[in-house]
Amino acid sequence: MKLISLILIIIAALWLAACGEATVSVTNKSYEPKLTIEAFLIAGKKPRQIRISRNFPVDARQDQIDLILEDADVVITDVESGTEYPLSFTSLGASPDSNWFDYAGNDLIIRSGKTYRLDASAEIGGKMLHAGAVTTVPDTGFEITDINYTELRYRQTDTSGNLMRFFMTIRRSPGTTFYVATIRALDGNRENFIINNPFFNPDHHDLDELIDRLRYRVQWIQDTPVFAGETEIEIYWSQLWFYSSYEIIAYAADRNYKDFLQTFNRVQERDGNFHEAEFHIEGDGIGVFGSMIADTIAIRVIK
Amino acid sequence: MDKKIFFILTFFCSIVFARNGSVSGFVHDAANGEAIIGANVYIKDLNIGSSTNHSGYYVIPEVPPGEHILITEYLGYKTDRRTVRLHENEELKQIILLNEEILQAETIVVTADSLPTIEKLYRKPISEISLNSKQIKRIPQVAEADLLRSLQTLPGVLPVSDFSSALYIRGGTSDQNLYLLDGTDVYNPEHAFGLFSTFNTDAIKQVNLSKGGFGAEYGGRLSSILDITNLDGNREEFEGTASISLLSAKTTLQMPIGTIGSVSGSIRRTYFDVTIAEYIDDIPDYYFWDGNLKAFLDLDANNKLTISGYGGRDVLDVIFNNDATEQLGFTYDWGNSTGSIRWTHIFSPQLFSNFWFTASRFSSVFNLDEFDVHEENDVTDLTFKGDLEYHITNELSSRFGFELKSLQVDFKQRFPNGNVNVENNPEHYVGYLQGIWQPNSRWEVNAGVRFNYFNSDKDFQNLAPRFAAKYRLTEKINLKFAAGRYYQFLHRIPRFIAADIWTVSNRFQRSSASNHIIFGFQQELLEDLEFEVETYYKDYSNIFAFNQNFITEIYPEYYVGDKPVYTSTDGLFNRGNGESWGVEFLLRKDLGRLTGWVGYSFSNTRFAFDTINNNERFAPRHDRAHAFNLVASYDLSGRQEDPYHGTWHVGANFVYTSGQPYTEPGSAYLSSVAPGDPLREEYYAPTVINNIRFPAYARLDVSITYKKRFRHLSLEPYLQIFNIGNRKNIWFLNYDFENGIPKIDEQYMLPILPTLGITVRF
Repeated sequence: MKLISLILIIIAALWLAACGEATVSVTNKSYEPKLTIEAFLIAGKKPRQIRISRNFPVDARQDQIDLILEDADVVITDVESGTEYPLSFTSLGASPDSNWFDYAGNDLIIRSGKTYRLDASAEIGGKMLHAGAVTTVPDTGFEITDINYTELRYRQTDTSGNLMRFFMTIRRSPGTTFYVATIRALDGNRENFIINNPFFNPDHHDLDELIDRLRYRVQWIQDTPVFAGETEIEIYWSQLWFYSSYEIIAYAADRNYKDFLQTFNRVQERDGNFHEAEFHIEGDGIGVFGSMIADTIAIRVIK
Repeated sequence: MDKKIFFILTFFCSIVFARNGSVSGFVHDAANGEAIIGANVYIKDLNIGSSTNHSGYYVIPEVPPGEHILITEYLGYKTDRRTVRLHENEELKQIILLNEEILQAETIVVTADSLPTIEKLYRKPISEISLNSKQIKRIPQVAEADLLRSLQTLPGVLPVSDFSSALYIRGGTSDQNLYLLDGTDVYNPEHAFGLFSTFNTDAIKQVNLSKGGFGAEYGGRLSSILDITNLDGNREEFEGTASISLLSAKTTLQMPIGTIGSVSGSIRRTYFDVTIAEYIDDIPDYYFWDGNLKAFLDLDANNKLTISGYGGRDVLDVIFNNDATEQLGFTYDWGNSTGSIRWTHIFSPQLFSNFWFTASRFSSVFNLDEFDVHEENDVTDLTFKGDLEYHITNELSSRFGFELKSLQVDFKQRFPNGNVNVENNPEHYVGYLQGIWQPNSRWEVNAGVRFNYFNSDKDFQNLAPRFAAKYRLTEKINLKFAAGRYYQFLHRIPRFIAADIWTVSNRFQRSSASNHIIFGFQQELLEDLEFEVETYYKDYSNIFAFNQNFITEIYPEYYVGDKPVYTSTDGLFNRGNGESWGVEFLLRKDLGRLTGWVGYSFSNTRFAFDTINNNERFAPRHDRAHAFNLVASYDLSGRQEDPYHGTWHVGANFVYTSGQPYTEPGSAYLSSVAPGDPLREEYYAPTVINNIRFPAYARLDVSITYKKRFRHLSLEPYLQIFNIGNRKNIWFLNYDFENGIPKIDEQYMLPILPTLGITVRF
């Protein structure tokens, strides 16, 4: 009987030890201030809408506008000639999307095949930080040559019952093996969201959270042949969430953008742990300094 | 006087020149004829003896002529004591049948013949732990007894989460464990995305887990060997069990094959797909099944044949949106098939041999038709191997063998913009030799070497020395030591839902190596308590961790049209080194009303991988400094001698481990995805890998079982409650922002999970 009592006491003690809820508080002990670079150079255009901001600790509420580093020194250098082009800050409002750096002059147009360097310096918390990155713009030759349909009913089938799909044909840029398509629903909203889709059934809350991201989708293909030629890119039905017109911009992209796009939002592993993304930024910086050639087409999805 | 001298000389010569004989044979369970592994057979007056091997065979090679008392002892069985009379040069064969012991009292009766606990401890290899089916089933688990989850309760063996049955042994990763089922290698031995193991506990006879320092007969993995022997089958009468739980229904049947052998078979199937999933749309159709079949044939006194097979499959069918008119989804099925034929041949009492032909195949098939995605992941292993034991004298024996292994390791994936077609067909040749020398009753020295030749697109050859020593310090204390070098030629890409992908050493990923050094201390306490302390050091070189950013590193080998085809593993892994050290304590009691063990381990593991964490060392996710386990089973009624009266058993399993390492994102930042992206969202920039630790993990599981025997059957209803305290142990964290406010969502491991079931024996 004494033994049974002892066992019961032990089990009760273990039970108490195995109750409760474990909680984690953010320590942010590895936080270091960094310059965040968000810069895309597009061939044939001036450097524009280059955003320089700062990173922030994950345990603090942040007003996004406060992250903009409007006093930053931002310079783009033509690596071949050594010519430096300082950028100036532009503010169109109190939103982070409306604040960026542009090149005000008219003597810098991004050229295919050329290499550019971006340097940014700014003071954060009394410490001067510097970050730099280099990109080489893809060679000329890239363009969208064809789209098989400009309009389809949502998941339309042909007379044989086969699903019809959008295919865009691109002419590849020699030396470039990574291509991106951004798909923007020009008039996507809650009313024309395709509820009866076979991929996902969002409730109202899900839709509120996701609708902006569903309006703007990104997909890529990688490791296409390095030489010139044509490649088909399917615009997946799973990227088309609205009965809407869509603007599709295809990009031939450089290595910096490729590595950023493929890793920046995949830093949390399936078991929840984190690993680093590939930014290709030297010094005290994170983010992306990429370059690309762009071309645009339009399609429409109807009921 | 002359006559006296003549008689003295004759007597002396008869002693000196009398030619010793041998005593050999098999030890079986009298009730069902099962071979008993690890039984101790010895001649008491001469203090010489032997243990039965995996086939139940023993030999005492040098026994002087005369009359001796042969004693056979095995845990839970009545000791067999018999007188044997041996003539000069006689090779005496003794088949010994042991009867199961019905315990009479709360404590065991230690008779004069019983082998002391300290002797049992001395005879087992260092770092080896054996469990039988009964012991596994007494440990409360999720839904039903599970082999791998049971092993996670032992010191030095850790899980990475409640959702995984994978074993992390002494700091090694789960791919560094070799799983052998009746001598056959098993790859990815997991059901239900890792929640359960593929081994049906009803079919298991014995499990030996070696946590390190294993001998030259084993190899191919860096950390551990899990050697599972299934039931041969009842050679005396038909016997069966059937169980039903909330998870599955299963049955195991055994029967004799005339007088020459036996057969056993098991089958198990889950039924969520035809119960809960029928009524709840959000639960996908999923089930798994598995089955074992094993036949044992006693061809003659010197030849036995064992044929064993296993098959199992998990089947998953997911629909993305059940409410839509058009239904799309994916299917995924995976599983193992194994088969082995073992020929046991006794060339002479001193030379015992086993020869196997084994086949093992893991395969998985994934289909996502909408996106034209199809994946096949296959590992096929064909092996011919032999293991021979030569007992030269009572002091000296040797073990030697060979292994010829042909592997086919393929991973094929078709996706819209390319193909992966990785095919490897390596061959692995192994030879090993070890000597076991017992110079006196205090010492045993075991030295061996294992030769590997692995041939893929690059050749690897190496010699792996092994050494172990045992020393009886006092009557109650043993000291042990082992050291060795271990090689591994297989590497694994872990995946979360989908089955892991195996690759082989090649020109991109070399063979991995590890050195083990282990010291052990064993003490007998209170006659039936085993106390063990082991401390170890392991290093690792050329270990390979999956490169999470592999997509930026891979390059196609060729093109079909404009579609890339990837055929190599270049870029898939980060190469690294590491080390583990620790100390483990185990207090174990196997007999009496109260059985179980208390274990504690302190360990430290650090890995360093190229390009990760600035090449600096870090604690891997499975590292835990402290782990405490208490496993106990108590017979409440104490009436084991009369099973017709119902008996109650309670069981408990308590686990406490210090927190897992975890990477806290160093910071967050705002970014868009592409030049025209109208959204700027928060993303995370981790910096230092595994820089924080979660709070401690704790869990208590309990079970209660009622056993009642009727005329021809017995019933065992049971209730198990996993995590009875419903403690919310953290699995991982989701970081998010809501309107600029940081938010952490703690994702917890399994909550309280009660399970009911019943087992019927007939």
